[in-house]
Amino acid sequence: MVGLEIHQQVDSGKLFCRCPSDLEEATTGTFVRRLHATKSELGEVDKAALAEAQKGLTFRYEVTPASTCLVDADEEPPRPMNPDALEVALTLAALSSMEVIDEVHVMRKIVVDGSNTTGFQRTALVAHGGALPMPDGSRMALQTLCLEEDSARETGESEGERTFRLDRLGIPLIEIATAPDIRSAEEAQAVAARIGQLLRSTGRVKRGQGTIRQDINVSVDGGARVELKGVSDLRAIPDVVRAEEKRQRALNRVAKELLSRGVVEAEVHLHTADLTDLLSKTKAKIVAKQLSEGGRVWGVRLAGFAGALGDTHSGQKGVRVLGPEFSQRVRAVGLGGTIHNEEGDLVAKYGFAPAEVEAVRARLGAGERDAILMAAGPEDRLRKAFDSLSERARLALHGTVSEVRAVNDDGTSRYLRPMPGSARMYPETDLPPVGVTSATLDRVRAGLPPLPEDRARQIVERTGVSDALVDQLDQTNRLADFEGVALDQGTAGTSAPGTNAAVARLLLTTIADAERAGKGDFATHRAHLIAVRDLVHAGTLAKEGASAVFAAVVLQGKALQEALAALAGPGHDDARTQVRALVRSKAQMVREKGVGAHGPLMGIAMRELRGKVDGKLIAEWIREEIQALLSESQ
Amino acid sequence: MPRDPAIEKMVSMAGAKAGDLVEVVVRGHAHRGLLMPHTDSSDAECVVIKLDSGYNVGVRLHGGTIRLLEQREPKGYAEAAVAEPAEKMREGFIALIGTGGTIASYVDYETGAVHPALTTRELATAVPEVMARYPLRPVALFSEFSENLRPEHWVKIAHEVKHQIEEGATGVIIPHGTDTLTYTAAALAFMIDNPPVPVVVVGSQRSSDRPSSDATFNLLCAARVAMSDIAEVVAVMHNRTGDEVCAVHLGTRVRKMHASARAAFRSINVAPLALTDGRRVDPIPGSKWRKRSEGRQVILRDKLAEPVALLQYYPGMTASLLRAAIAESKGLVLAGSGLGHVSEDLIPVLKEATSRGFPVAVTTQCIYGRTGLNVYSSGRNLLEAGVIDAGDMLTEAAVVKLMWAVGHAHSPLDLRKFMETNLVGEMAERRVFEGSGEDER
Repeated sequence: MVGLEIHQQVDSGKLFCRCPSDLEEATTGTFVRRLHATKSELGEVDKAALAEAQKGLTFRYEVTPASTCLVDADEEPPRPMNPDALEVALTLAALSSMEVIDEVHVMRKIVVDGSNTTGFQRTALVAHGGALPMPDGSRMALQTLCLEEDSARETGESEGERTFRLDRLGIPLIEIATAPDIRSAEEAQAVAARIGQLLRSTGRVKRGQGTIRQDINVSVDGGARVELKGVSDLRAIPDVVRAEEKRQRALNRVAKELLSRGVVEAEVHLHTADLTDLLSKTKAKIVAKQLSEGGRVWGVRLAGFAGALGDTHSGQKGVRVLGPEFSQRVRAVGLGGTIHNEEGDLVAKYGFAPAEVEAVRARLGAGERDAILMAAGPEDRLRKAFDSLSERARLALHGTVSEVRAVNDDGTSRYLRPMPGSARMYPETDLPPVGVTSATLDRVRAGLPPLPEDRARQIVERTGVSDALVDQLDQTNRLADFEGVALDQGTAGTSAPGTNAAVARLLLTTIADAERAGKGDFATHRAHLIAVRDLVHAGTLAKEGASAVFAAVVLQGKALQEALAALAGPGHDDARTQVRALVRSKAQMVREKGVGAHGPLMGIAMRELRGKVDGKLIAEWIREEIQALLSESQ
Repeated sequence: MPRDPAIEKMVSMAGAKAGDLVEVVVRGHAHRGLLMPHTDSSDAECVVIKLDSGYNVGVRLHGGTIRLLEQREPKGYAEAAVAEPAEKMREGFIALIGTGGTIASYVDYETGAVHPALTTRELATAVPEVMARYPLRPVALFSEFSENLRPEHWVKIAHEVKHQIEEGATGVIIPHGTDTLTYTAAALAFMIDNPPVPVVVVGSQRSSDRPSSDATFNLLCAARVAMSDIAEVVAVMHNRTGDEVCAVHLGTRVRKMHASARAAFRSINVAPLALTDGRRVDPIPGSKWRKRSEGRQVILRDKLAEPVALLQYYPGMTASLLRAAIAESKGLVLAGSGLGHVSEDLIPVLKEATSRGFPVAVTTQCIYGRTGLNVYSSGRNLLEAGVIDAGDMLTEAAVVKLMWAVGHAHSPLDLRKFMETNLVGEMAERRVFEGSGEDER
């Protein structure tokens, strides 16, 4: 089964301070901090928190001029929760008929990876239950809706130090978790898309890369739950889900196989040994390099694990089962990876001498039934790495392990950290709880946006543009901008669908280009867009020319008149002559196909004249020329 | 708000107490979790439930039901095994005298309450990294927020310091709430005559239950200073926002200059004695201190007169208000404007008081700089009225010193002499100019 957690940035100021929520290029300074794993009153330390703290990292924070204050630097208590952000959360809760919590309590969720200066993330449960209204009328059960702070963004990493920028820290995030009821990879994508669409329908969420992030929870056959973090592209979801399902099934098969061989947890009993003396003269580059830098090489025998590391049980050639799991554990402590005998022949693939392999096997006491694993690097890291390997080997008997994984670009994932326990949450004592009154809820309900499909239908009806175009505008969060230009200027019903479609395309292309290039956004260029729209509507500017003119204004900073003059090019008379010449040059085809030649001719003509003359006019001219030619031939 | 009586009744009828597993049903929705203690920041009709997910939610119980599912016994503070650092103890130990404050606190993850460490063991558990590295012997003396401390607490601390040093402590660390930390530091400096070992007062601006707490670094630095040869009462706190450098401030010269930031503590009118990164102690050029001398006997001069009044002059301060303060106290520190001035209508009140032997010490409310009562006639009038010129003493240090001086002086003349003489570095005739003027702010 699959469950989703969607995180969407709200387009308001920061959640617990009065900073704006803009990302910045400039920084004004840095400071360095350390974080400590704290104990609860029961002496319990959260596993995930401890794993991070054990890395012993220092954290450097970059201060930015406009979006950082003492709250972000953990130098001042938080300010009360931003009511605008809460209202967006309540809007989404109402759209999904969720039960809103009467009194919202802000919690501190312990996170010591440095991404929060405090060592915790402030988060509040705002609503729960309810169901997502899907476009086909069905409903997908939701679990929770939380409002929380975004973390600082990582901008660099070096030996023992991670660098974060504080501008993103504290931006409100709405986190929506679905029930684990999603049955297929495709459904997961559809649900994620729907949540994104509902969020955008509020008109108050951020857009652009990194403003929405998906975490996916996957468990197969009632097994352990694995959290896959940070899928930013919706289209990747099905592949990620499928890859994870395969991975989990393979792990479960391997566990069954190990148990059937009689391997028991207490006896996985790792035999670890230092192999440095045996391999001091090895030609295997991967080891030789580490040894030359003063590192050592360790090895371990995994009793009864023969075949469990490679692809024997994965059901897919080349897709290894436990091998990558071990390797990722080793990488998580900063080593290059593991060497094992099921990834390829130790002699042929890595360049070990056959005698070296024999010596290693003998030292580890490895027989036919066993697997061997080696890793090289500095001794202190090897110690941590082999502790982690030993833990992972024991867990192998349980099949899927509940853990947090990061998604790779190819849809596979890698080990990140153990699943955090529930002990990591305690109240934010610096903030009083926020009561949600019935007056607030009434106001939210009264201002509820229509469901996206209802709104899209209305917009299609009123503007005459295609469903596909409206869908694109919606997905890129530009529907409100489009409405503003297409409908709000008193031109509703008068402006032609063609004009509106041109406006839509300018939003999707030129405005998007401007945003990417840092040359302003919709708000900056609204007046220009309206001017271009009016020119198109009046027929002064060809639809096809609108893009060139608008781009010249928006991207090159030209004045509108200048851009129009540059476009003038051949006059209509010339164009008309060109069309006639074209049709005559294809006289043979015209005679054979008759009016059927119109399409191909149109294609050729548009290649020449696009942006210079309105396509409709060209179509008309071609039609006339075809008629003329045909009547001549008769 | 206190809980509504009707709601309170529903909860008690259900037999539920804080910490029990309950089910609350309102508007057809069931909430299952641990019942949290009611706090006054919550709505009167709300009960707060901690769900399995760890989130707390407030539910208005009105019109709903509450049912006890399972009684839970409160779990006590786990007494983590604290290994006595026996090996290091032979070389002497550092006494860690707990007084309360956020520097040694722990969080109850079930209720979310942050408790100060109450027992010696709790104190030790709250600072595991420091315990692991230094031969600390924790003693929980009392546990108070520093805003609730009174002069009698200072005396109690001074006696404990003496006791610990006599027991063989080679250094003393006093974790303390930050609000009035500087008053305690100044009081200890006046009371403990010629301490043989470092006496380090330390606090934290972020409580130690937070991963980002400055407590760990401040304590590590404090422990390092306690091992040094600086036999003074000092305060050790973050010098910058990062966990990189702490400053060692003379106890009579340090002031809390920010309500919340880590680097709030500043030496005023002097440079700090030294900087430390927790590994080494680097003296600030030109700074001097009494050197460690472990054989030296600890002498306490612990008589503090109470109450002493502190008034900050402001335009419009009335003679009757000043008179009332004088009538209610055994001495007055008056933080004057600029060079130490007050309006002329207050002069006769002061004159009348000093003529009876009532001590009035004048400081500057500018914080930085010294008084200059000879510059303008208003200053000269004050001197003629018989006030004591506190020079470049911090106003807060002057208050503590006046308590001590009234406590120990045998005559008004005696008292004046105490107040005008530098005893433990609290005042100086000369302020070194570092060149840019940046220190003078």
